[in-house]
Amino acid sequence: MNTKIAVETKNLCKEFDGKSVLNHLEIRVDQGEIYGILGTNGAGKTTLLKLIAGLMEPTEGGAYVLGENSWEQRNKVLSNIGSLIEVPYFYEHLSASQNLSLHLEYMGVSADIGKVLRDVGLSDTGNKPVSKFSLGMRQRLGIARSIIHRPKILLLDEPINGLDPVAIREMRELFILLKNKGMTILLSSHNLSEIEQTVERVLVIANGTLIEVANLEELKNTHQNNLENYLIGRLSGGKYND
Amino acid sequence: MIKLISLELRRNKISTFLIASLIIAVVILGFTFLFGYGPQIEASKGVMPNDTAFEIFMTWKGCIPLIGTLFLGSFAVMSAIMNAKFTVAEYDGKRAILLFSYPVKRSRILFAKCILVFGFTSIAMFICNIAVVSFFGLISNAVGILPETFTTSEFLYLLKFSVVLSLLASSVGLVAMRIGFIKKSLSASIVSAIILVGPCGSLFSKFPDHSFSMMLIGMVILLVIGLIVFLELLTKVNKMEAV
Repeated sequence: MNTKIAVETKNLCKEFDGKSVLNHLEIRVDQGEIYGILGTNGAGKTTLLKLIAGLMEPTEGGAYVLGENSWEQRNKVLSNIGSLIEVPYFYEHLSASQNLSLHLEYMGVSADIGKVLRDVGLSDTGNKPVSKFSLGMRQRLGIARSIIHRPKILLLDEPINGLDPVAIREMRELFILLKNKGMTILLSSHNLSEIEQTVERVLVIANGTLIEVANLEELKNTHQNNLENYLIGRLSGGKYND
Repeated sequence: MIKLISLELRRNKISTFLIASLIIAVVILGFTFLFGYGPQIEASKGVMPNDTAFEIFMTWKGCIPLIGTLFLGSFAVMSAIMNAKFTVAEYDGKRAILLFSYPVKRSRILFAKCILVFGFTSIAMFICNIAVVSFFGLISNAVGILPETFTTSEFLYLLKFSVVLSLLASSVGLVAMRIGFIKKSLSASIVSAIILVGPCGSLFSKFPDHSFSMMLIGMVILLVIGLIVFLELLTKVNKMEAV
């Protein structure tokens, strides 16, 4: 089967002030899959997503989205990407729909704003300015903004932060729906259960180094009752091996 | 480019700065009347108006630059604040992710922001200066505040002066913004604007007869510096990372 590559990194390195944050990372994400990035806080998950989104320049190597170099061809790459990276920022005095409308103008596309707001459970916010939104509502709006322009690749950094259990389930269902429509999703999390329930393949990363890339179903079969312990063991570098 | 400017207008509250411009105009109009009546008030107390400050306010050639300087100071600071809000704040820290996520050349977005602030400040200051001085001139003609009459030749002098001062105020705002950009600080932008605009006022009061040529030279110098720092900022923003 000839699977197309959605995202690829080649020898990707990133340093901040001489301190290495990502070390020679090589990943390959196929089109139409949900790919999880699992790591502890500070493992390099957000940096990896930022490099893929063309928001940072690699110190060495490169990140490629649909074959285009993320930093050198960033405008081409950005038009194919939807992202929710770190805390989402908005124009605080504007409503949810006004924020989305502006985003669409910048992306140069049109979309049904009402439908997307319904999809993320924000249809009843009306003209309420974003400054009055709760953390969960802001997160939902961030997700809405990342998907409204129908990107081919979705980068989600800790997308369930601040969401209640009902919203977490709704968002999970939404991600699976989007995946079924052909969207490639890269989802970073330090939440094991989130990764377990959403992704197909998982990249385990610790201190900027790739520890393991595995098919989650296979991992579940191999470590039937102790997957959590296994993953914690991998994340901790063997400190908590089962 | 026009689309990008209109998007800037949609996501920033320009009305705040329209109101601020009106307030500046009203306050300076009040000061203008106060200065205008100054010599008469002093004379009524038996003090002869032979002080240099009074002399400035007895001729339109002295009065127009003085009012212009007040506008220059106010609008240069307002321009610095606008630049800080529209530009500096949006490239500050993690907030930059938002702007950097659009598939639009970063230099085009920055250009749209700077053009908008530069244009708004120039036009607002030009209109306010013309309106305040013309209004004062008409009232003065009617009730005799200044000994001289406000004629077409004074109005043309005012027009010429307003163009130069408006561009000067906007250039000061641009340079101040670049200084504020170093630390991503609103206060640094405002302080820089005050420091940059300060010498202009001093030069005026020292050489009132050559105020226009001095302002013209000042405007050209700051406009050139403004252009240079703007081009340098374009390069910087293109290479910026959303850390």
